[in-house]
Amino acid sequence: MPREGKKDVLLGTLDLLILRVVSSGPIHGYAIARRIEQISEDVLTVQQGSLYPALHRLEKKAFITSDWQTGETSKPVKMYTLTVDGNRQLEEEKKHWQDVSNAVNLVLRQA
Amino acid sequence: METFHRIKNWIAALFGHLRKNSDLEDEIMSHIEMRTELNIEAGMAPDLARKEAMRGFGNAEALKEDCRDSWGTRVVMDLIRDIGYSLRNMRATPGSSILVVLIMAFGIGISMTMFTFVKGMLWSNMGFPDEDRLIDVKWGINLKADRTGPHPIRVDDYLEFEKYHRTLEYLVGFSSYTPGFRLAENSDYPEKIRGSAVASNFFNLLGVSALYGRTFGPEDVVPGGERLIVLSYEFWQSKFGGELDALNATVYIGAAPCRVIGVMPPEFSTFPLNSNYWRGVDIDTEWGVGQPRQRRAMLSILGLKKEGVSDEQVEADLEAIAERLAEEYPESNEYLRDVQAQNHGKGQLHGEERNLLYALLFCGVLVLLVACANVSNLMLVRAARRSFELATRNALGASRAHIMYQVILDSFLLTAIGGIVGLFVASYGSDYIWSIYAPLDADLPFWWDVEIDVATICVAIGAMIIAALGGSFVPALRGARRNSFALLRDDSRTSSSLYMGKLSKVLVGLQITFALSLTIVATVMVLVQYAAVSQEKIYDRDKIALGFLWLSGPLYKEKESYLSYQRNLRERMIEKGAENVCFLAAGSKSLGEVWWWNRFEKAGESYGDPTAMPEASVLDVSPEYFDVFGFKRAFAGRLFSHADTEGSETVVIVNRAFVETHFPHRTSPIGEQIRVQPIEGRESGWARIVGIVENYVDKPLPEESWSDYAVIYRPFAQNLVPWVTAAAKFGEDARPWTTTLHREMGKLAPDNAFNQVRSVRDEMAFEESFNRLIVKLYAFFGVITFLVASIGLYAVVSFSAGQRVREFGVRMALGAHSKDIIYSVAKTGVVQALAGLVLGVLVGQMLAQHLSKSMNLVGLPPVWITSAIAVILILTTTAISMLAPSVKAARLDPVKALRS
Repeated sequence: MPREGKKDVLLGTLDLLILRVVSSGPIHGYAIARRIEQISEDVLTVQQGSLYPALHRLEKKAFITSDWQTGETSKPVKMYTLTVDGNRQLEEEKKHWQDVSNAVNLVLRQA
Repeated sequence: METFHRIKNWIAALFGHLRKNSDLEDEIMSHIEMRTELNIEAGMAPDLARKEAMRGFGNAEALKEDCRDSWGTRVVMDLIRDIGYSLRNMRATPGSSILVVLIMAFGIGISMTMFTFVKGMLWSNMGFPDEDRLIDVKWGINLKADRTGPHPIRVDDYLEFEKYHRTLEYLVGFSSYTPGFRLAENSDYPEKIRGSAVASNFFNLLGVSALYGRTFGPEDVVPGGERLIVLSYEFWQSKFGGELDALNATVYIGAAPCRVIGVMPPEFSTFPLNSNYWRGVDIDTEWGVGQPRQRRAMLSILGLKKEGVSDEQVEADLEAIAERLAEEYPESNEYLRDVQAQNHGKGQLHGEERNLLYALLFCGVLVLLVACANVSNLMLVRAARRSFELATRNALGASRAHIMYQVILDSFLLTAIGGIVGLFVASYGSDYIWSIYAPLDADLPFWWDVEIDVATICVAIGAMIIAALGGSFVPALRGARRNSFALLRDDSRTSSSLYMGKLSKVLVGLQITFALSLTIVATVMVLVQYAAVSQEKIYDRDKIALGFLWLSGPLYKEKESYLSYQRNLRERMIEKGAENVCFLAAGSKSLGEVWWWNRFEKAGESYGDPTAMPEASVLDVSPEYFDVFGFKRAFAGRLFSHADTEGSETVVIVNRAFVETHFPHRTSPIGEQIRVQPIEGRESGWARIVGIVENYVDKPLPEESWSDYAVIYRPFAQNLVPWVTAAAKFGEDARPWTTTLHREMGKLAPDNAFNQVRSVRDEMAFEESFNRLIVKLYAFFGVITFLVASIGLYAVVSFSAGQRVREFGVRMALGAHSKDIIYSVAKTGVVQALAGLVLGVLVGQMLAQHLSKSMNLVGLPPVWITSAIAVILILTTTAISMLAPSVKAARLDPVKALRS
């Protein structure tokens, strides 16, 4: 349940947001959720029930890869990295999002 | 790229499913721990912080399921999980699981053994590119139920065919023979090595070239020219040690020197039939052209059809030529109008043998059906035992399809295990059968391959699928019925169980029908074949040695030499210690009894159609035959003497079975005239019956089989043929004397083809090997059927009794005696057995009649005997298999039974 004032990530945009966050460098699942929340200034929230299946789905599509690394803490964490295919996919999805949001803005402005 | 990754991930997921699962667990744990640390940093107590982190995380199990879905291996993983469940289920019910596996192992094992055996003999390929077009050409003469099979073709008819055929690329005559073979001229004891004398265009047939050296062609084989031979690879290896010096070496076949010009590749093997070498033959001088027609050689003929030509077209083409020959030479060719063209690879077995093999295969299928009925019944029992569990699953929302899938999977797993065991059984079984049979058949085609191969495994998998589905579909359907409420409300003795009981009864009935049918067929086969191999003869089979000889050259062509050979051999053998020696115009299959089924005419009777003429076995014998083979005296008239020669009156002697069959109303047929129809050029005129002898079988013959034992004996001297069997009688065991006979035969005719010398007993064992094998196989079928049927019956009765424990407890508590319980349990089985008995007898007898008709079996036992034997066997099996569960049920302690 999102906290008050927070919105669930828009349907169909979770993959785009994950790819974008992962494109900044290797990152684990929890940090991805946190980063989306931080960057969106706590407007968007990512449910774990959606995040991990999405990560596994993207990994299966070979857009991201994963491996266990020892991060800041001594405990190993599973880090995700963007692949070349993932980068290409990110560019496509970004363009697609731009087109859709421009179109939606246009309708909002002129309707 | 994406596809590659997908496949890679899928495989990784499949094989690393456990690792992935643990990865996911770790990842979730790591997420929760990080969240917990944050909560602690925010001032929460550690316990509360962890609780809050876990609550915030949500439903981890649902998340795991979603993640697993994204791996794309759900179906496989579900299957693995279901298999695991089925395996646990097997472990929980070891008795019925082991029984299903055992029954399937028998069913698949036996049916696949038969399939492998039959496939090897009927459907093996030679491995040549044009083998589909390669045919055997023979005269198709329908003698006494085709008992002797098609006939070879005489050389002059072959030459006519060879000259005028239009549908063939090649027509090649050859003759398999075993002449004396010597590596050097001065070696005095020739070896018996089988080779083929072949027409000069033989090697054109398949277009296979020599591995070393060359083959011969029409230009190499000329009258009076050098004799050339080509060796088989195996023979070259064994006789010449694989040395290339063998090329151009001179060997001696008969008396003639022959030059080795080539070695064929291993894949040519011993084509066409067990040839160690091939010698090019000069037809004009060697195959009897220019001799009287009745003395001309008989040939085996191979043809290569033109592309797109059918066997029927070849037959029509050659029959047109045969018609002309029949009109031109009516005395020898009148009845030779029917030509038979048959694929060489597939046509090695004649109709009866093929039918016998099909019958075996059919019996194998019956065993499989018995096994299927058994498995189905056991699966019903298993499903009935699981009815409570299945109803619970149904009530919890499992779909009907999934419940059916569970039951079917259970059956598939058990069948697969049984099937794998069965394939091992089949592998050993077919090897074992082959190891008995193969050494006994001298004419074994080299391409027969009795091995478990991919085709067999595919058929076995098909059989397993059918058996598994056949065994589980109905139980699955019943198990998945949506009556969970009724099932859950009741205990094990529910309406559902009762319904399964009815179905079970039908299956037991079916099983008994199959088992009884198979038993009747097996009983008929065993009795018929056993009667054939165990016939008591009027002579002592241990005291007679037989030697077979094919006389050629001057020894045969000059009549005096021929007869003096016989006289000399007889005198020498008597000098050595034989009591008497006789000669028969007979091949190895005769054993001095039956040689050739011929039609004959009786004087004063007219036959519109030659096929309406009566038939009898015809055997040409020397006067001493009757003494050697135990005929004490002529029953009426006289025996033959040396005065019965070509110049004297043509006479015959007949046996009692002949008189009973063909002159039933006459006091004595002595003095009657009969004429045996000319077959393969052996003309014969009217002959007077001068004597009647006993039958050669030492037992009273039933009236219906008289005709099978009717024999016409003709004096050997009046019907000379090149093939001759010498039979020497000794006052003791003939086996040690076979070497002496062999040596003397070889000394007197060193250049002629002679074959093995054996005692009659050994020869019978050899000739009857196929029949004996069939008897063993059918007996084996019988035993296996009983085994499978009794296991199945025991299982069903035992499990159904097990389900009624509480009922028995109540009945015993109310005063029922043990015998009432036994009666109650046994009654079910007897009713089941009776239901199948009537149908089984009907189906079994119909099958047996059909099989015996298609295989021309003679001496069929009466229907009531085979039915009675089979019914008694099945009832005994049923009774034994039901005894144990009945007694066990009767010994129940009522208190314990009620508590169960």
